[in-house]
Amino acid sequence: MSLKFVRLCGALVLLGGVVATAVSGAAEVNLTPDKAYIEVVHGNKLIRLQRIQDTEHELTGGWTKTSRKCPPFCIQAMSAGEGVHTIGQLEMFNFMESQLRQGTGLIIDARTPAWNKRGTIPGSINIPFKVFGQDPDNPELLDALERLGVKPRDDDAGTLKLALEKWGFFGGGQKNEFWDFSAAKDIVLWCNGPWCGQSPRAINNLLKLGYPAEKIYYYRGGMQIWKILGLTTAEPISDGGAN
Amino acid sequence: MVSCWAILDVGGDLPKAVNCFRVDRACLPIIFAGLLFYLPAVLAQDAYLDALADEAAHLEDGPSDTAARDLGGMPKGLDMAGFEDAMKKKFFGSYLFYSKLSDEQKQLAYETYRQDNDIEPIRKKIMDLFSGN
Repeated sequence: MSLKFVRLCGALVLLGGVVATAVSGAAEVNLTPDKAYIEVVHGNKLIRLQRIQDTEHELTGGWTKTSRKCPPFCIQAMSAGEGVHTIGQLEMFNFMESQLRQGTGLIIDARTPAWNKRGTIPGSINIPFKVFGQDPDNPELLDALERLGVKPRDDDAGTLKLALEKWGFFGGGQKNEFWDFSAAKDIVLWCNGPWCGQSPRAINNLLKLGYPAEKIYYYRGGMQIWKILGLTTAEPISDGGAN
Repeated sequence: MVSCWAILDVGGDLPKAVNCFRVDRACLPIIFAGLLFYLPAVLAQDAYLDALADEAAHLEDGPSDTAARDLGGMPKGLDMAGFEDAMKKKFFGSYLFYSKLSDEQKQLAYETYRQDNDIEPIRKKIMDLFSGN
């Protein structure tokens, strides 16, 4: 078999691959082996979440930075709190396709607005971490918790009732002195990645408020890993929370 | 003379007649100690926010969803069945929401497609109809 013939065959195979890819519109860089993209509800539009298809693409700018001062930018623990689920990208995709789409879950970009406006993970609303550290009667906290499905207690729960609730009566376990968490949504919180303390702080404060730990998910990879994987980012939702 | 405990008792209201400037001098070390206790936490929070703002200012890149918007539209000139079939194949996420609409709403989404085959306005129409706008 001549070298020319082998080269010709190789070129044809390559060309065939390119044509087949172009015709089918299939992606080369998939989210999972059987999924090229998912569509995510982001405010009042759908965004196609996929990976950058250029296999030569490299990050530039701030997301390539390796070293930031610690403190404050210290490496975070894998767990953000007892009972809180730490998740990765695939679990995030599943969340987007299930709880977020059904309206039973929210994805929270817990970063300050200065970070959020430079691009966010599709489907996320921005509630900066410091909001959850406010006093229980702070309107900003009330608004934020209402979006999460949490209601302030409107009944006059006396000491006896509170004690009984702690034992599981009157829908106990989902309520405390200030808040009723019985309709609280599943929430994913994230920030800039493993070196970012903003979402762990938010989670810590949510736990202090009494938010059920089993309803909290911590996407530790955050924007850093999202960017490294070439995943789509989006403009912040302009109204601050159509989701 | 006002007791220091009246000031430290955060659960109860201070007597109305209390004037902070008439607090017993013996209370001053306690107030000072309280400030020393809380001040570092407040300052640390401010420093953290400053550091975050400083880091954010060094970011150069922005959102990448323009690529997602340019993925193309629907084929032109399809009848309603063809429109539904094409959307199911090409934009399944949008189709999921479309399939929940009433027949009348589906017709409105189809009319949007007939005016512009770009998927963005079609998606927006579907989502508006879905959310009842």
